[in-house]
Amino acid sequence: MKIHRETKDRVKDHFVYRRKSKRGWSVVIMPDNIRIDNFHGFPHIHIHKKAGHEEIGIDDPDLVYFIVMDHIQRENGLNIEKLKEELG
Amino acid sequence: MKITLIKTITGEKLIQELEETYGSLDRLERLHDRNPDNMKVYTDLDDWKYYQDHLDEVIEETKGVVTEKLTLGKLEMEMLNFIKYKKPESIRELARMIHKDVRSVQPKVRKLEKQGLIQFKEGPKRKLMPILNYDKIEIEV
Repeated sequence: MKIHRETKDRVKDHFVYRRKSKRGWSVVIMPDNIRIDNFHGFPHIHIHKKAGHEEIGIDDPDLVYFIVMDHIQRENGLNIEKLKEELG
Repeated sequence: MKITLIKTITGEKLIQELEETYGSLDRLERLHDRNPDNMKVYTDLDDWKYYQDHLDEVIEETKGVVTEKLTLGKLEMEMLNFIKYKKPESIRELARMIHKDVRSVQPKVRKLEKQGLIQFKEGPKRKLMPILNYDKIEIEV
């Protein structure tokens, strides 16, 4: 019983917020504090606010959202390097 | 389990919701100063500043939850339905609507809130009013 409870508690809940409008789109992953958006003209990912951003290949908010949700479920959390590869 | 909540709102409505969540733009700015790495707070602040000048702009907002802990049974579905369409002013009123004891409803409503499916708002006489302000919920296992 104890082992079962510990296993369950290791899997954290993740929240993924997406907003899209004429202005552009953003996808935020919490509690990991990752933001992916296409503001300033190209799609990019912010791993850490001070660390700047890295360009990604996908500029489709629905696809980015799908990849992120699928990744979190498959990996039981976030593997940043793997996620970046998946986002091209 | 993957849960996706979807709604379409205007810039004006988004600002209204941000006001309910954070109180004021000043308060959100202070929160951001204290937690500069919190990307949700940063995004909400950036959007508030932008949409206050674009009140009519249409926004599609989606909230996704990846969880292993949620059990959505018949009662939870019934509660979500009543919260969305009958808008009970408290958990006690919700319990009355679905003919259940408030002691059995309360932990389930709190669990739905913890999972991000509903929110609480302060209702009349400081009661906790459960709210569900999304148009569509998609559940994928």
